[in-house]
Amino acid sequence: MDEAELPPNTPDPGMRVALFVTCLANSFRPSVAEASLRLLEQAGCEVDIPELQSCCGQPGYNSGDRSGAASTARAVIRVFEPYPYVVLPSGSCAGMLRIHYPKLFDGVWRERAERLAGRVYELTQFLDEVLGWRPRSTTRPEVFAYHDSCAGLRELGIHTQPRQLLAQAGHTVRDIEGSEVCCGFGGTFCARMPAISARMSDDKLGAVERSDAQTLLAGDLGCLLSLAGRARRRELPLRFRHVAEVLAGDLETPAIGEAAD
Amino acid sequence: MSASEAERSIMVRLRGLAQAPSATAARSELARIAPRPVLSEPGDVSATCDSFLERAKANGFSAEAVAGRSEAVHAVAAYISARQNHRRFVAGHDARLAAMPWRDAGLLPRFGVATAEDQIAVSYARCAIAETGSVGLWADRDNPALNNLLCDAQIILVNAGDVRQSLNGLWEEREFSEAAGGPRGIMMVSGPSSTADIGMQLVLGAHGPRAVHIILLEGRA
Amino acid sequence: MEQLSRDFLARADQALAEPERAANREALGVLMPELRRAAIGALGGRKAFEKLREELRVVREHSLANLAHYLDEFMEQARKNGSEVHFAASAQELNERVIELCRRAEARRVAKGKSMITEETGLNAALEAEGFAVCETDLGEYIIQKAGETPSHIVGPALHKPESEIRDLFLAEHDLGERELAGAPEMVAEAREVLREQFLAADVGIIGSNALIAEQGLSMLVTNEGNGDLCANLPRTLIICTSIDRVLPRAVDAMTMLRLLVRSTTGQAVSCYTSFYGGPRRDGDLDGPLEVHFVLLDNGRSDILDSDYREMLQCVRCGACLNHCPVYMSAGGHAYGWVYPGPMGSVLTPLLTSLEEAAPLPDACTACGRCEEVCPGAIPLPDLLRDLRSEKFAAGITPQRWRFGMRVHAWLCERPRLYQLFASLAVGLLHRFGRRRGVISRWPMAGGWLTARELPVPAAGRTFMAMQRSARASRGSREANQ
Repeated sequence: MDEAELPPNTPDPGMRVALFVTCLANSFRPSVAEASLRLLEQAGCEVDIPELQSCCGQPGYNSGDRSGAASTARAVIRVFEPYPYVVLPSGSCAGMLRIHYPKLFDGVWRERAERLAGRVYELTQFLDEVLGWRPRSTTRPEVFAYHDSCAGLRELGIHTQPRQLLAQAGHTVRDIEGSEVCCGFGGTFCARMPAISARMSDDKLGAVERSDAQTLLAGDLGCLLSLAGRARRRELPLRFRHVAEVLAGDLETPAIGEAAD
Repeated sequence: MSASEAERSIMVRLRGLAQAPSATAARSELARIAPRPVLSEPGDVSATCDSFLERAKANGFSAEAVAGRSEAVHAVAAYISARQNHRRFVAGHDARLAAMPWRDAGLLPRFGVATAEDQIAVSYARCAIAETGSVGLWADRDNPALNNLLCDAQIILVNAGDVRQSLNGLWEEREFSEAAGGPRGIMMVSGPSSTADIGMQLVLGAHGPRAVHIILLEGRA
Repeated sequence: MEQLSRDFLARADQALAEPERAANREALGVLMPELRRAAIGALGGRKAFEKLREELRVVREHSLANLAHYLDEFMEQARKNGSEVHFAASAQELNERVIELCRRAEARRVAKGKSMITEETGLNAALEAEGFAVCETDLGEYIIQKAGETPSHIVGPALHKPESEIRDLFLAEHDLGERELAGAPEMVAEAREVLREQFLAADVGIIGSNALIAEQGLSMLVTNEGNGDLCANLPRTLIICTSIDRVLPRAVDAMTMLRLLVRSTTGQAVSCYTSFYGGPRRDGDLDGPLEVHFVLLDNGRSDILDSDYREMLQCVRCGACLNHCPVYMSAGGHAYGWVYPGPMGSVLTPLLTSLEEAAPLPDACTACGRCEEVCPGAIPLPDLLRDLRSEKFAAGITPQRWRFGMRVHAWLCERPRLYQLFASLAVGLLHRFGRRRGVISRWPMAGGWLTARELPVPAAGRTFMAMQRSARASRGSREANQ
C-alpha cells in the first residue's frame, strides 16, 4: 500500500471491535485482557484481537523519542484503522491514540491518526457510553476504593463510567481524598525520580488506607502496578485490581503483586 | 531621550516578529477578535449597591449605607469615637470631603497628606465595583495615595451613583493624561491590608490599614 | 541568580527529608485547590472559567504576536505620563540600569516590592555590591532576605519557613526587648513596625508589574499587603522592573486577566490592592514619586517569542500550577534550583537559562495534566515539557542508556512478532523468579523502579497474546480433526 495516500475509509459496520490489549496487560496481567474480551463479548461485540500489536508508544513519546513514538504510532494505525472501534483497557493508552497520535504527524498520516482517534475508546467508557451495557449483579459485593488515572480523567473524561458500572454490578465505590491527584507512576517518571514518585504513591496509599476499602481499583495497569509495588515494599495490607477484572467477575486471579496460592 | 542600544536591538527584533503590518492594523485586528466590552451596563442602582455592600463585607471591610452627607458625618464620628478618644482624622483636599458638615458631629479634620502619625484617614472614592466589592480611589492632588496606606484605619465614602457593576466600570473615565487633569494612578482597594506569609495564617494590617470602613451615600437626604 | 537545577534530584531528596519545612507547602496543596475550586464555582463553574481564559488567551496571543506595536504604544503613553522607559537585554543590563538610576537619585536606601524579575537578575546582590541598602518589603520576601534564602514559591516566597523558624529569625535580627512574638499576628505586627521605618527612609522604591497597559501607559500591580503601593508612593524615585512580554493592549484586558489571576493565585475574587501606576507626581500632588522609570527586561523572552514555546509567555505568574503539581508538592520549590519552580518553572528555566543546566526539570512531570487544567493562561504545560524532553533527546542530553533503551523499544514496537517474542521471554523469566512472592525486589536494569517499590511479577507465566495463539492453534486443530 502506498502510504503517502489515505487508505479508503471503509470500516466494517456493526459492533466489530478491535481489542488493543496494551503491553502491560499482555505481559503483566493477562487477566485484564481476558476480562476485557469477556466484557466486550457479553455486551454483544464481535471482538478481534489483532495479532500484530505491541505497545502504543507512550514510553518513547513521554521520554522525548518523538521519532520512535511516531514509527510506533504508524505501526498501530496500520493495524487498527480497519476497525470501526478500537478499545483499550487503559485510559492512558487510549489517550495516547486519541489525543497524542495526531500531534505526531502532518499531512496524510495526521489524517489517518485523526480518523483512528475518533474510533478509540477506553473500556469502561465504551461499555457505558457507546454500548449502554449494564453488568450483571455480582454475588459477592465488595467495597472498593477507586483511583482515577490522570490520563483517563483529564484527557478522556473518565470518572463516572467505571463507578456507575461497579455500582450497577452491586459493588460499593468509595471516593478517596485527593482522588484527582496523580499516584506518582507517570510512566518512566517513577524510574527516573523514584523518591518523588514514592512520596506521591505514599500519599495515594494513605488516602486508600483512610477509606474503609481494602482493595483499590483503577482502569490503568501502570498506576496499579506501581502502587501495588510500593504497597508491597511497605508491607501494607492493601489489594489492587483492574476494574475490568471486577466487572467481569474475576476475583479468583491473585490481586496484583500477590503470590498465587 | 535617545533610545539605548538595548531598546534598539530588542525593538528591531520584535518588529521583525510582529504579525500585523502596523499598529493600526493590530488595533483593528484586536477590535475584531476581542471587541471592547461595554464598560457599564445599565442596571438597577439599588440592586447593584446591595451586591457591592455584600461583597465588600465578604472582603473584610465593614460597611454601611447612609441616606446623605449629614448621616455620613455622624457615621464617621461613630466609627472614629469607637476607635480613639479624640476626634481628629486626616483627609485629602477632595471638594466633596471639604464640603461635609464635619463640625456638626464635632469632628476635626486635617486636610492634607497622611503621615505615619495619623491614626485614621477619611477618603472619598471615585467609584465602587459591585462585581468585586471594591472601591476605586484616584491618586491625584486632592486624593493622596498615602491616605489609603499609612493609617491604622481608613473610612472610605462612596456615592451610590458611582457604584458600577463590573470591573470594567473602573475605566469609564479613560483620560489619564496630565493635560486632561487625569490622576497619576488608581488604587482599587478590596479589603484591609492582609498577609498569609507566616504559617499560612491570614493576618490583617500587614502594611496598610488594619480596618477599613465603607460608607455608601445613597443621596436620599 | 545561581543556576542549580542540575541537582534537582539531590535537592528534592533534601526536601523530602525535611518534613517540617514541607508542612506549609502540603497544607497549601490541599487548601489552594479547594479555594480555587470555590472561587471558580462562584464565577459560574468550569465553563465560565474556560470561557474567561479563552478570552484572555485570544488577547494575550494577539498582544504577543504584535508585541512591537503594543510596546511602542506603551512607551509613547508612559512617556506622555512623565515616566521614562528603559530596556535591558540581559539580567546584567537590568541591574546596571537600576544601579545607574539609583545613583542618579543619589539614593542610599532602596525599598523593594516582590518582583520575580529582579530575583531572576539577582538585583539585590548587585545593588548591595554597589553599596546600596536594599530592603524587601513583601513579608515573605523580607523573611527570606533576612534568612539569606531564596524563594520557594513564586507567590509565597517563604512558604518553606515554619512559624518557629520565622520567630527565631526575628528574635535574632530584631530588637525585641522582652517580647516573645507568640504567634503570626504578633510577628506580622513586628514586621510592620520594622518595615514602616524602611518605607519612610527609602530613597528609591522598586516594584514589579503584573501587566503593562499600552492604551494608557499604566502598570498594574496586584498585592494583598499593600507594600507595593508604599514602595510606589513614598520614595522619591520609583523603578518598575518587568519584562517585555507583560504588555496588554487595553485596561479591560487587564481586567480579564485580573479576574483569572487572583482566583488562580489565592482563591480570592480580587486582591486587596490592585493599583495602576501612571507616572510621577503631577502639579499640586502632595505625594507620589518625583521620577518613575520602567525597566523592561528581555533576557531570552524574544527568543521564546520566536520559538515553538511562545505559549509560555501567556503565563500570568499566578502559581496555580505549583499549587496543583504533585511533583512540586513532593520536591519543594528549592529543588528546581533557580527562580521559577513547579511546572511553569520546568518550562521557563530551560528556556531562560539552558537546557543543559536545567536538564532534569522537563522530566519532573508525570504528565498528569492538572497544571494545564487550572492554568489561567491556557498553557499546554505537559506538551511543552514533552517538547523539551524531545529536544533533550535529540541533543543527546538524555542519558545514553535511556536513549538506547527507547530506540530499542521503538524498534521492537514496529516489529510486533519480535516484540511479543521478547515479551514472552521476559514474562517467563519474571514469573519463574517471582511467582513465590508475587513480586521481585531485584532485576537487572530495573533499578529505577526497584529503588522504592517491588515489581509485581506476571501472574501467569505467559503473555496474553501467547495464550491467544495457543487457543487459536488448539481451536484450529480441533476444527481440522472434525
